[in-house]
Amino acid sequence: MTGRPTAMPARMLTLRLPAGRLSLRVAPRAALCCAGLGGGCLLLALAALTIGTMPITLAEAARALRGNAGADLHLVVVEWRAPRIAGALLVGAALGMAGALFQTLLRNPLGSPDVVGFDAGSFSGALMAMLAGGGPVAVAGSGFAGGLLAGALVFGLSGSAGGSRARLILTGIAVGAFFTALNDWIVMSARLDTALAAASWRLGSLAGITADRLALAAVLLAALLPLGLSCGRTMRALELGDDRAASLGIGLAAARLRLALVGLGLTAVATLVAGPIGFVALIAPQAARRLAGGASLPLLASALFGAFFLLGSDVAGRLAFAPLQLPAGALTAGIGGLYFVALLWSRRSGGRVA
Amino acid sequence: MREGNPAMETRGLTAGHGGRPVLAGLDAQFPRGGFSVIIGPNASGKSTLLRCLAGLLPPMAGEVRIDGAPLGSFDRRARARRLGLLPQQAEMPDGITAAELVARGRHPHQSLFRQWSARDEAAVAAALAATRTDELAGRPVQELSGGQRQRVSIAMALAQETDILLLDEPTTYLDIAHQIEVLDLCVELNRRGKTLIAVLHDLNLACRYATHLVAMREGAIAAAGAPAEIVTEALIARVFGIGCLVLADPLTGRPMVIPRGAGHA
Repeated sequence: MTGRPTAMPARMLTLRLPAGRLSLRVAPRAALCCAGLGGGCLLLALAALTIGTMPITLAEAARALRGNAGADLHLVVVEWRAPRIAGALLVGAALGMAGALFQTLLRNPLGSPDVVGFDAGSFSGALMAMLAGGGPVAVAGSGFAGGLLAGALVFGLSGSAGGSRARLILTGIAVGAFFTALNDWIVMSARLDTALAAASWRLGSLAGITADRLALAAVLLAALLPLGLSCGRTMRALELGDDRAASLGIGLAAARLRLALVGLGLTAVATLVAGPIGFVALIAPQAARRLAGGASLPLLASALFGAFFLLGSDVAGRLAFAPLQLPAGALTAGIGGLYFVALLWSRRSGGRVA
Repeated sequence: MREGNPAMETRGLTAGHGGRPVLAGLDAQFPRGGFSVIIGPNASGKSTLLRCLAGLLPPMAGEVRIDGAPLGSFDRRARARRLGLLPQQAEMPDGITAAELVARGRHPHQSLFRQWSARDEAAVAAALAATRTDELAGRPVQELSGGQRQRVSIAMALAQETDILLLDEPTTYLDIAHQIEVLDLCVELNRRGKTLIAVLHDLNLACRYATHLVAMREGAIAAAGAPAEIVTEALIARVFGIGCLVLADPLTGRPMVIPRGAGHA
């Protein structure tokens, strides 16, 4: 394989096989950013394994993960901390990528699934399946259906994809409010034991993560994350406007549907594991773009930033007010609020938005 | 494809928006290697025609042909390698550089596993050179002047390496110097063999630059041919409903339209 910096466009590195059958193009800064975020996730995961009300050394944690540790250590590391870390990474990655897909599709930094009501709709579906006693597959499928319904409502009520984008975002906020109210009502009217489980899930918590849901989420994301990554080419054409994208050979309706379905799938998987967690999908793509450079929202960096952000929030929520635990969703919402203020402030002072 | 065949043509083209036809049974030809310019008053259907040629608006009846083959017989990618488009208003992501934007014109030649071939690189370099935008390559497009930005947009369409380029009012929003700059560039591209089909508002610029004029009125073709052959006071009166003088441009000998307006009848 030959690797050489190309003269133009600048800031790009091209890798080619001699026959020209394979050529990859990478921005060095974006690659560095992804490597850094990946390393950050790893360090954070190691820290999360060891730090807590019961401090554990890395050697002990490794022993527990290999299966030769005492019952206490096994419980804390294998039953509690490891699934929670894995859940935070998977959910964060799914949300980060879903955010990049939808913000590009809706061409608006506010067009993220948590703002336009897709995750509330997804949670309605998941909640109903759970209360009906469905297993993880039913909960995931129903969550996807709920997200689809919310998506169809938002696009239908705002006058399809051709309508104005601000209108679409406002419609999405209204649809989201409707589904949030529906979720409240479902939880309120459920039996006490299921209502308690549902209530903690509804806050966007990683504490009550279950092994079967986590396993299902891992399998689904193994398919959805690569599918999402393969949307990058289409996204870069869609960003140039409908006419130009069409003239570059993009089938607009099919491309939009593909992005939306992958994005909704990612949202539904995140909801399945952790309930509706806000602000990760909103912030991760913008933050990742600032780190990775370039004009487009970077898919891989968004996923990695989402994973890093959510795991960081979960660790902070677990430790900051220990023994009291804050759900990760509360932390991401708090940080998200600050992000909104910063966004408005930069708009006020004439800076570029996002 | 025989010599003399039109690069593009429409046959019995009926098209419009919301079920209301703007064009009704239109037959138009656009010569290979020509610089065709579509003129006509507002709502005469010129943009609708261009959108049909670009494949952005599906015909209600009739068809559009490239080299005699129906547009519908091309798959999207194949079509994107024959037919480029410079839309009237271009959107682009914040902070994109000229080189990055031009490189995106290579989309129909690439795939997930062939992201940047040597040919892609050569095409982008050639497009930047042809539009004299090489020195702007690293600059964010939003910071460029209107004329520079339009040149970069044309470079992107050139990087697509199509034999036909459609331009939807490429000089709108530009001052006279930049209008001339863009149209001179079009002539240069045309001389190098690209077939151009443009919608222009300015009659005198259209007469001066076009090799083939298509004058439209109420969704039909009022006249088509070389500017010197078809532009007369009668035609302008029929198409635009104004009285005018048509003189020979002292510089080029092409027709020049001088509207009479009130008080000069």
